Amino acid sequence: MTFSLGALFLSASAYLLVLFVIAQASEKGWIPRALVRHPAVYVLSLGVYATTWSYYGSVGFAADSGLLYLTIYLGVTLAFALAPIVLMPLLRLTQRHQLTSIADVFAFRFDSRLAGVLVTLMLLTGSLPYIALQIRAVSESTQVLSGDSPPQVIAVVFCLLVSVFAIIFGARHVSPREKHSGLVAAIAFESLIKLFALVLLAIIAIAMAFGGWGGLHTWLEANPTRLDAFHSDVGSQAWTGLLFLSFAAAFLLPRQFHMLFAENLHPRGLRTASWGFPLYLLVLAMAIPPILWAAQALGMTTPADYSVLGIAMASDSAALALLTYLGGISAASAMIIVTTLALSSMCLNHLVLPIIRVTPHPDLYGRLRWLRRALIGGLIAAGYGFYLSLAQTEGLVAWGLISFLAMAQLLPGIIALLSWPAATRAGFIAGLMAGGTIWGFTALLPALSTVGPIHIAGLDIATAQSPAYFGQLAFWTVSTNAIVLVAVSLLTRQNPREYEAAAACREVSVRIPSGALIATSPGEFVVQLTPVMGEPAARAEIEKALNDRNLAWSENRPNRLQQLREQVQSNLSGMMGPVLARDIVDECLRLDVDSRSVIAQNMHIIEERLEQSRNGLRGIAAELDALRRYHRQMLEDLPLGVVAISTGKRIARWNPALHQITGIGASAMLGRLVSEVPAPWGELLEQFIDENTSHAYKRSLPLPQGVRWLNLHKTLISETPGGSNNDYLVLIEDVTDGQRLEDELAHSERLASIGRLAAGVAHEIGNPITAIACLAQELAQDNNQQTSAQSILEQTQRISHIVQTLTSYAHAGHDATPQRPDDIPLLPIALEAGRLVQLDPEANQIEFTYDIAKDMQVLAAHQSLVQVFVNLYNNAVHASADGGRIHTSAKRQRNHVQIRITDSGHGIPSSIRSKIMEPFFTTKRPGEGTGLGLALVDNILSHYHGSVRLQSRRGRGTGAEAIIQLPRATAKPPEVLDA
Amino acid sequence: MARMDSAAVGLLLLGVGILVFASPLTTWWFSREPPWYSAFCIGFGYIALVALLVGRQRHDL
Repeated sequence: MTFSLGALFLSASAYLLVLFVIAQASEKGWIPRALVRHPAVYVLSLGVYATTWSYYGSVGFAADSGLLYLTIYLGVTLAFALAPIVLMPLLRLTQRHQLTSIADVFAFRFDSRLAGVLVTLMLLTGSLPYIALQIRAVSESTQVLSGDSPPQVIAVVFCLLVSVFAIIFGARHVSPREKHSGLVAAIAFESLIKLFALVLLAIIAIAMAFGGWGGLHTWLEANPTRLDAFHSDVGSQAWTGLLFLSFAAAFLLPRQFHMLFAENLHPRGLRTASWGFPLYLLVLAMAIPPILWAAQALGMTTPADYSVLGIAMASDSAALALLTYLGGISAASAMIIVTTLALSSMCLNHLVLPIIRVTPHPDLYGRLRWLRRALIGGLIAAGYGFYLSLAQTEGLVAWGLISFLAMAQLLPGIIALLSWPAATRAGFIAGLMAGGTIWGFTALLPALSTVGPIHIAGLDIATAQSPAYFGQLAFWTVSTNAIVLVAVSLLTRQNPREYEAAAACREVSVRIPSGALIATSPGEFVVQLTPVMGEPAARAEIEKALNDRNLAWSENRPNRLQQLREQVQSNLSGMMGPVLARDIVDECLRLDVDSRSVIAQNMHIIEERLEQSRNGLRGIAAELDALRRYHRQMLEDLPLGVVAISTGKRIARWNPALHQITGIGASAMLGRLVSEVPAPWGELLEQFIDENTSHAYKRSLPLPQGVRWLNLHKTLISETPGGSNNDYLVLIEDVTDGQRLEDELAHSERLASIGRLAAGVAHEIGNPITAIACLAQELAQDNNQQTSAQSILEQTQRISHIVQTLTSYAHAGHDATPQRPDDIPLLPIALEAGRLVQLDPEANQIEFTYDIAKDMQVLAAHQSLVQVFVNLYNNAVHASADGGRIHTSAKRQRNHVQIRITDSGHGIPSSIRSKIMEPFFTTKRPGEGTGLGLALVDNILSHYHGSVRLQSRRGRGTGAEAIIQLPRATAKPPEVLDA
Repeated sequence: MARMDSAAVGLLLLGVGILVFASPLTTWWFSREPPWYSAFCIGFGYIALVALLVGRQRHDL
């Protein structure tokens, strides 16, 4: 069975069009977003690892080296098992600093443009032949199915279509933060096709060649040499070497790095991938042996590398053959698309932009996009050029291993990046050059050479390119690389920027701004960036960074502007690479390193950095950090408001106590000017700082909630003993409660004085009243004056009664000890209290009514209970309007008497209901009430085992009622008697 | 089972991986002519262990 070239061309084109539709549907949202962003899609997209080498070449590899082919998958399994300590830290690093490629990572870690250039060249050299290999596989597979000579036209059209796809769906955004969901979905679909085609083919192969699973076992038993050959290389040197190579390739191949880190949407995807991706590869790999043995059992003449197609053709199923062919197209197209995307980003950042420099352009983003698109086209064209030159060389496996070996040269650098902060730029570059040179001479050059033999140490390396040979090379190149890296690193020193980058890679951020920003607003950032990027791009970048940091264009706090500067650098890094981004930011957004207020301005940033890096600090650094935390906590926990004000009157610290006093949080104030602090606090602070005095006591501050009194203290902060930098520390002590207590005490003292005076006056009035009463009695004996005399007598008795009540009430206040409870009638007490309250003119227009049985008695002390009633009546009078009514009733309840005092006032607002019993709580204006009345009532009643509660009046009308519970006279509790 | 930190999980899996896939134990096991699919069964078992241990990690970015 053969296919015409036209049919194969149409099939391949139609399949690639399906990919276009899937990518477009994902980006337009026609496919549910939840599905596109599902971790399974991310895991499948990593299947780009399986190229035509895996798809077609694994069978040939297994035919030559048995189970050795499995190492290409097992190495990946081991690498993904290390996700928590290798992949996760790399993901965090790339996302935090927006690093889009492995070249960006090394350029960032070693703060070296040369490192980025070398890594890019290394990967480019290792990847272009690999791209050529994919084109060749497409071409050869077409040849196998069509039985024709190599169809160049298919290769050309295939290259054009994947170029268009990569340009449209892979280079849509210039920033790595904007993911290419369409690309990921399309690659995931291709992985599914590969898996489905290979597994289906394996099942059909078993059925076709052996009649079923049992037949396969019978055939293997009958051909024990096959199984022996299959297992022969397990544990050999080649086994270990290839395991190591695929371990490195799992995440260092450009396409793997791109899909793993640049297109990662969420870390949970990587966690799923740690087992999901190895599972995918293992299922793929498991299909290989049955296909191999089926091809052997059927005696196929197709080259072993294309046994997959041979089996499909032998099945006489055109659909299966086309599916298998399209699986190969999937493997090749996915690899080429993702590899060129990754390489184009590296080439742009590390080869092109450093040469052409970023210049002002009306559409900088468009320019970068088109540069990247041109690079994608150029890379695929270069791959095609390689394909033409490699067309005659043999084997798919060798080129795959050459590429893997190139990636393995980055492994020592990755280990240093993750776990050896002392590794230096010189060490990395020297190691890479040493390993790369050996790789170039022993692996790449012989493969490219068309002349031979090439002898090194007596070995013809041009013909010795077997898996075992690459296993040995893996050992020699990588160990040389690592030894040189370590040796040179030990002999050289890091510069501060390198040290800083090394710390950032370990998530210990020691990057602290070295100066104060010259720009004072985001608008000035735009002005400063414009000469390099052009105004539109500069404005767009600042807008983006402001959104990232949730800041406004009006922002002027230095610490926030520093964060904005870092965000701009990070965003530019994603677009142009970390080195160029840093150069641009350092050149445009300059820092004033001589500023004296650097520490105060950046205190917030420094503290944030130290918080983030807490777990990474060791030894003396960790101890110093603990000491810093302790000192800071002292300030934070101080029960006084603390505000540190730097030179330029910016706020550098604002502790929680000050938040409590002012109601203004630290986050809103840090970095602000003192004049920006909301009134009246800003004025208070400004005024106090400008004053000559260091202390101010009981300074009043009018606030909407009432006047507050504050003690203020300030001091200059010294940088060195005896020196100062004009930064101030201001302490604010809220003494309002103390001041209020003093006022209340003074008021109480005045009242007490008046009480004593009134008692004295009452006593003095008593003598003349007695005299008047005597005279009135004498006058009463005169019949003519009897009526008038009787009236005088009644009025004098009334005066006497008032005076006696007043005197006894005044005397009762002198005795601080609680009076002994006794059986006392309730009605006279209520009446006496009523009379007392009615002495106040305010109570004249209030009607007092009583509904208390004459024989009702309670267990309490007379004067104390009068005090209770007076206080409650006073409150009721204050709450009632003229003509109001205060009604007192009492009823017996088991062992208690319940007294209810009801007024017709405005009631108790719900907002103050919970506070009315608290001491010093009053709704009256200052000086008019002590706020102690109800608290005193509660205190007296609790002494006599009673209680009081106040509530709004139930039923009709407004008003409040006080409900008092007191023990009945007949229910004396023994402890009360003993009291 | 108590939750292990990332480094412990990584090192444990690396150790088990090396023992299973690249040690004298591997050579010995395959010299005993096991069924052809035994390598895949070991692979599946190892992946299950990875899923179990890494899946328990909740430390993200």
